[in-house]
Parts: sequence; structure tokens; C-alpha cells
Amino acid sequence: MEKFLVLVFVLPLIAGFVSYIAGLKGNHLSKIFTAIVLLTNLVLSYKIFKYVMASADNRIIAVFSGWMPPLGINFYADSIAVIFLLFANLLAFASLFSAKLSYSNRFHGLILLLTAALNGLILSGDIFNIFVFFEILCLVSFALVAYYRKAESIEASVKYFVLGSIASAMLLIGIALIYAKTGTLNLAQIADMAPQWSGLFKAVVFGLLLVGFGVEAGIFPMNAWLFDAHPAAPYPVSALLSGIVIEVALYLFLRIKSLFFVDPLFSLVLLLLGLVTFAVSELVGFYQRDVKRLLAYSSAGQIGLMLMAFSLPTKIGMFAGLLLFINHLLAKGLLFISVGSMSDRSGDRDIDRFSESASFVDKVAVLAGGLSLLGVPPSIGFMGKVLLFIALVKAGFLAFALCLIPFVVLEALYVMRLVGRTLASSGDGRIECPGQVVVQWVFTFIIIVLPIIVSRMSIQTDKLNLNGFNKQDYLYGMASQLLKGDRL
Amino acid sequence: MMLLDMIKADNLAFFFSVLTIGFFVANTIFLIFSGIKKGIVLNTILSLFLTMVLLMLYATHNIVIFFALWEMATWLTYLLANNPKKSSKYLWASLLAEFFMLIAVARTVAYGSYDIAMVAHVDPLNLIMFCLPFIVKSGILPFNFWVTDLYTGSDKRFVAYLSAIIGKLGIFGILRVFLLSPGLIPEWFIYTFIYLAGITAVWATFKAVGSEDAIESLSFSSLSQVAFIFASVLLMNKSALIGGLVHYLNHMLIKMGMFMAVVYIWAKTGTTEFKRLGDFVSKMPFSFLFFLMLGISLAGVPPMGGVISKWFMYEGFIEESKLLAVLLFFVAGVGSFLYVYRLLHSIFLGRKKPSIGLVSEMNILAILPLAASALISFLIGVYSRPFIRFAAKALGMDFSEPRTDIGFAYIGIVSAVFGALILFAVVLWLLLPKHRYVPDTEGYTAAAYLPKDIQHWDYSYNFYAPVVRLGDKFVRLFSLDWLARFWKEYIAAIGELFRGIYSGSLKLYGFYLMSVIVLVLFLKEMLK
Repeated sequence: MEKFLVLVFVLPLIAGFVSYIAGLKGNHLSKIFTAIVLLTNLVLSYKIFKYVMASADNRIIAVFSGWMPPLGINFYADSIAVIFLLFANLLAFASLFSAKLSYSNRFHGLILLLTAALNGLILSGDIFNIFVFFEILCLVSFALVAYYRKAESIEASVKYFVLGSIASAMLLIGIALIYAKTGTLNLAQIADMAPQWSGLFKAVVFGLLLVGFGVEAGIFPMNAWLFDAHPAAPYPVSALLSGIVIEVALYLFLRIKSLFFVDPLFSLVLLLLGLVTFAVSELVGFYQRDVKRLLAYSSAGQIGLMLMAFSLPTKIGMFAGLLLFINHLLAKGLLFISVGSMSDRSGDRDIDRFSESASFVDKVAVLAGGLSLLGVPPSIGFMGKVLLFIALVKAGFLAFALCLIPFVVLEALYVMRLVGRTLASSGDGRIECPGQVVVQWVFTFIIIVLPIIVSRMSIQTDKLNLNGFNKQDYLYGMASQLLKGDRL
Repeated sequence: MMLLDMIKADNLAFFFSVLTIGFFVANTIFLIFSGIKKGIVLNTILSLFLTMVLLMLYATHNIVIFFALWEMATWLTYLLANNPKKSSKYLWASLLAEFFMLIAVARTVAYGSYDIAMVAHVDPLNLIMFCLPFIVKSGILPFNFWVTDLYTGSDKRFVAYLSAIIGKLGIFGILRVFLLSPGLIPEWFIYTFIYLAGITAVWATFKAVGSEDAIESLSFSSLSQVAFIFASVLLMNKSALIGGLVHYLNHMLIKMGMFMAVVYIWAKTGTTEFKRLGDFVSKMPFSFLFFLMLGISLAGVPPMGGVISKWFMYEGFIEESKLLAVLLFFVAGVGSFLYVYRLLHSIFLGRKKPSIGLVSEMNILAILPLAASALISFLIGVYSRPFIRFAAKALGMDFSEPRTDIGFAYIGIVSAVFGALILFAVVLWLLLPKHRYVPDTEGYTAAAYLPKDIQHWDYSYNFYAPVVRLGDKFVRLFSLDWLARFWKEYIAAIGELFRGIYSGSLKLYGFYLMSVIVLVLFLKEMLK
């Protein structure tokens, strides 16, 4: 099983270059090859997921070439990492499957490299490798955003590049400071020494890492690139950027935060940042007419909610964060694929005109994705939202919960405007890529079925008493693990 | 099993469930057989789903599930209204209130309970936050700014459901919480909302009287009646509570039947504007008869059921010495005579309009629910005891010892007198000379120009002009659309401020970059 852990990273990394070369003979060959690799990766990540969930200590470690830490490189997957791994690979496969055939070998190769970087980031047990994978992720993302080579996409990519470079520099400075202080790059070993750091040192490193990861995660005020990059990118890329890339950056930062910065003050700072990110994004998103830009603001808003949930040092908060993450990945992936392809077909991203060529499946997908994103019961978004409010109140942050209210309503209004326009479309459009139809139906099905699975888990346990979840509740187990700051 | 444990079906749940199922069945029969084909399948499926959600809502005592079901009801209402633009105010007002409910839920969970009975135990603020959606859904001032848009803009197939069931959902919520929290409700809360409900009733009555559209008039009438029931329920007085529940039943029947008739006319003529309707009695005599019976009930005139329920509600207010509230509801009650007459006159009586050629009487299956609602309402009026007992049982009260027997014996006498008067009127109608139809141009003199627009020469337009002028200032004062506008503009201003951050200008991003570098250098200096 350890080999699989290495394979999910190495396979798409090598295949990225092979796919590009294969594509020189034609886009079809490149796309088929990429799809096979991503499907293999999805199967592998599912195997890892199943293995980790079934194992006694819910984790798996792979050491490269027998070199033990701190000298060697290691991959580490706990139960939260495997959830991220599974969904990252699912979305990567779905994005490619829904992509138009006209996308070139360059696109396919970059998607594979992006998947490799994501998998590496999720699994890395070493802070320097995290930086390396982070760099790969950024570079590939810049290229994907600029894929169309139009003025809009190049400008968006440049902005992304400028901010991304600053983020990388901050991250590198932060890592260098840590290394200078501890002499190791292994996360677990750093975590053991972190309690001895001075308050000021902690604050500086925390700030540097926050800026480093915060840019990619879309945390306010470092998320200015996001609202240009999402609309300018091809729709499968927007789905990936919004559905998993920003979440993985957030996950990494929170993972490092839970290991190194256990002081409640840091949690409070993140809680505040989460609230501000959510509030500002929803406020500005409310006035957007460009549908992809509107969805980008919604993504930043959801990141704010996730940040708040994960910042709470309670099991319910963690559980809420996980549910919000899964919900956002599925709903936003589906929305970007549907809305993006509709606006591509109609040649217009304006909210009044983008859906002129909507098909039936587009309407169903946008309705399911929109309602799930807003947390309409019984979606898992609803469960996440309720648990977040309960977690905030239980942790004594009633004021934060109250502050969220107007902005949650704002999001509901503008997302429903998008849904309403799609449903009102009289167009009978045809979708160019049959794979997109399959992805839309499958994601819609998952969105409908997932609440039943999750609520069954919840209802089995003592009348929704969240303190009474038992071991069978995987998500709860994962939340506990993250809370404990499980380490190598 | 755990889910079943959480659902404790009690008498209150049974009462509301019976009414909701009854309404759904009757409404579905009407929609299927009335010949309205477009959009019926989706409407029926969503309505069925909404009905199931409501049944679960009535039964549950678990606050998390209650909240989930309440929110589902809101969203389904929004979808069934099928007019995103007109229902957006409803959506944001409801969601805003529901998030306060969610905070109350979270606080109750943090308090250590999932039981709805414990909501009031946390503190009074928790109770108020939990009850906010009930107040919004009932359209009580100042939370009534969504009402006009939703009722007038809703899908016509859904408007009966909206008026008969959804509009009164807040009453169930209040009953569910208040009956489980005796002695824990702050008095100021009760009295404040009783008087606000009184003002709402008068406001909505004026709006109904001045309305130029049958659906709009009936909708405002619903709001007025719901406010009356809402206040009675808040009072927590035995007579008022029973009167409130009987009126709930009665009003559901009235609005079900009246809306069915109006929706049928809309389906046939494509309009519900008064100025385009008239003299439909000649084509729809049975519909007129049942509409008339229900109108009498709505106005609270014997021998129909409205008088019974209103009597009990007034009795409750008088027992609690809430004379100002009595006065407010009395004004609203008098106003109900005006709009009921307007509805009857403008739709079924009055001048013949071109639209009459499009209508014919409903078929027997479609008219069945209308007839049933009129007959049950009549039964409530002449033999109210079983209905009152049903309401009392739902409230967990023993009604074997009524405070007065006025609700039974005296109403019987009044009904008999009114029955005799109606009989006398019928005899007069048979004996006296009949009306005759005259052409519109009979009163035409001196080659005067006859305007084409009906509103300039037909008396069915601006029917109650003096009354509308009388209440104009009052209606304007309490029409809180400005609140919604203010909210929108306020948000726009803040949004504009923040939009500057995402201006897309590289210069601005350069400024951010420089700021960060300065900050880092500053921190570096501090580290030394």
C-alpha cells in the first residue's frame, strides 16, 4: 500500500510529460491517455482511502528509498489526508472528463502535473517538499489560467503570478526561519520543538506562512488574483482551482497551524480572517454580473466559512469544516462545469445571457449545485452550516455567529439569481462533450445521496448528539485526529 | 428507530396534519379536474413534497430537525412561487430570520438539549430569536414588506397553498413553543406583538379594500385574518386559543374555496383584475353560491363558521382586558365586509365584461372541494361543538366546562334570525321586479367621447375610493418597502467600498505588495 502512496504522485507527474508528447499526434490520444492515468489515480486513492480507514491507527507512511526522516523524504496519509486525496483525484478526473475535445495536449499535460502537485501537497510529511509541490502547483496553475492566451487570461495569469510569487517568497522565508531554528524540515520533529519557540518568533513565522498559503487559499486580503483567474481560465480549470486547489492550500496551512501554533490567539486571528473573508466576498459577490466571477467570490466566501470552522478548536468545528469542504468541492465543481460550459456555448458570461443555450442537465445540475452550496436542507452543506453555528456558539463566539447572518443571506440571494436565470432559460442547448453530461449527472447524484449517508451516520448515534458520535463515524474520527494534531 | 423517537406526534401535530392533508387533497383534486394543465405536474410534486415536510415539522420536537424542516418549507415555498424576482424579498426576510433561529438552536444545543421545550429555558433572548421566523412568516409588522410581492407575484396555482397553509405556519410555530413553555414567555413580547398584529390586521384590511385585483385582495385579507389568529394565540387565553384554532380551520376552508374560484377564473380568462371581470354569476351559479357562503363566513356573519371563531377570539381579548386590540380587530372585521362585498360584486355581479365569454361553470369534480369547504364552514356555524372540541383537544384543553355557553346557544339564535332574514330576502327577490341588462351606451349623452380604457368609465374600478383615501396615510406609514430599499442601498454602499480592493488594477496590487514588503522588513527589524 505504501507504493500506492508514492504512485499517486509519481504517475501523473511522469504522465504529464508523456501526455504532452502523445498529444503531438492528436488531442484524442492525449485526452484518452490522460483520462486513463487520472482514472488509475482515482482508483489508487480510493484503495488508499479504504486501507487507511480500515487500519487500526488510521494512517499510512511511505519512506522514500529507505531514508528515514529527517534525512529522507516521506509521504504520510491520515484519515483527513485520504479524504482530500480521494476528492482531489475525483475532481481532477471529472474536470478532464467534462473538458471539450478541442483542448490541446498542453492542457492535458498541465492537468496531470496539477494533479501530481495536489497529491504531493496532501501527502507530504516534510515542510520543504510542501514548498516544492506548492511551487509546482502555482506554476502549473499560472499556465492553465493563461491557457486561452487572450488578453484577459494573460492579465489574470500575470496577477496570479505576481501574488503567487510573493506567496512563495513568504513561504520560503518562513520555512527558512523554521529550519534555522530547528535544524529539521520534518513536520513531526518541528512540531515537537515548536512549544519552545518564543512568542515573537511564532508570530512572525505564523504571519509568513499565513501570507504564503493564504494567497493560494484565497484568504482576504490576499485573494485578489482569484476573481480574475477563475473567470479567465477554461471551465474545467476553474472547477479545479475553486473546488480543490484553494482548499488544499487551506488544509495545508491548517495542518501546519494545528502542529506548530496551538496558541488560542492564532485560532482567534484565523477566525477573524475567516469572518472578514466571508463577509467581504459575499458583499462584493452580490453585485457581480459575470457568472464565473460571481462563483469565484462565492468560493472565497466558502473558504472563509471553512477557515472559521477549522479554526475552532472543537470536534464539531472540525466536523463542520470537513462537511463544508466536501460540499463546496462537489457543488462548486458542478457549478463551474455547468455554468462555464453554458457561458462558453453562448459566448457571454453576463448573468442575463449566459444561460441562453442551457440544456436540461445544465438546469438540473445548477439547481442541485446551487441549493447544496447554499446549505439548503438536507444537503451536507446544511449540516456543515448548522454544525458551524453550533460550534461557534459552543466555543463562546456568539458574536461571530451573529455577524455571519447577513452575509449568508446575501450569498443565498445572488446564487439563487444565478439558479433562477438558468432555470428560466428557454434554450434547448446541446452539450458538445458527452463526458460533461455524465459528470453532471454523477455529481448531482452524489450531492443528493451523500446527505443520506452522512445523516444515517449521525442519526444512528444518540439523537444527533454531536458529543455522542462513535468510532464508526469516519468523519468524526478524522476530525478528532486533526484536532489532536496527529503526527508522524 | 432513533428518528422515530425524535418524532413525538401529539394532538397539536394531529390537528395541523389533518388540516394540511385535507387541504392538499382538496387542492390537488381541484387542480387536476379544473382543466388547468400547464405546470400542474411539477406543482403537484413539489406541493406533495412540501406537505410531507410540513407533516414532519408538525410532529418533531427536535430543534435541529425542526429548523431543517422549517428551512425546507421556506425553500419549497420559494420554488413553488416560481417567480424569483417577486419572491426574493420573501427569501431574504425568511432566511434572515431563520439564521436567528439557527443561533437559538445552537444556543439550546450548547445548553444541553435538543428538545424544543427547552428553547425558552435558555433565556428570553433565545426564545425571541427562535420565534422570529414565525413572526416573519405570519407577515406581522414590521416584517411584512415581502408580503405584497410574494402574494401578487406567486404562481397562481400555488397561491391557495400559500394563503391557506404557509401563511399560517407561524401560528403553528408559536403554539408549538408557547404551549411547551408555560410561564416563560416575557409579557412585553406577548403584548408588543398582539398590538403589532392588530395594526397589521387593519393595515392589511385597508390594502385588501383598496386592491384592484381579486388575488391581491384575498391575499391581504389572509394577512389580516392571520394577524388576528396570531394575536389570539399569543394571548394564551383559553377562549382566544380555541377561537384561534377554529378560525385557523375556518380560514383555511374559506381561502381554499375562494382561491379555487378565483384561480379557475384566472385559468379561463387570464386575468383577476376586477375591472375585467363581472356578472360571472350567470355562467357560474354554483361557484357563486359557494363563494358567497365562504364570503359570509369570512366577514363573520352568521350562520357561517366565521362568527363562531371570531366570537371566541373577541371573548378572549375581552377577558384579558385588551380593549385596544379588540378595537383594532373590530376595525379590521368591519373592513372585511367591504372587501368581501367588493369581491362578490366585481367578480360575480355587476356589469358584464368581454371576459364572460371565456368562462363556464366548473365541472362537478373540480367544484367538489369548493362545495365541501363551504359546507364544512356552514357546519362550523350551525353545529360548532365538535370543531371546538377538536381544537381544544389539539391544545390539550378540556372543553367539557365552557366558560360561557354563548358560543353555542346564543349563536344558534343569531343563526336562526339570520337564516330567516336570508329566507325573507330570497322571497323578496322572487316577488319583486328583476333587473334588466342595458347597453353601455345607454347613459351616453351629447356626443361625449367614450374612452377605451375601462378604468375611466367603469365603476368597478376604484370602487372604494373614499375608504382608500381615508386609510391612505395609515397604509403608507406601515408599508415598509423603504426598509427593504434601505437595506439594499446600504449593502450596495458597503459593497462598492470593498469592490475597490478587487479593482483588477495592477497598480493597486503593486501597492499591496509594497505594503507587505514594508511589513516584513519592519518585522525583520523587530526580530533583531
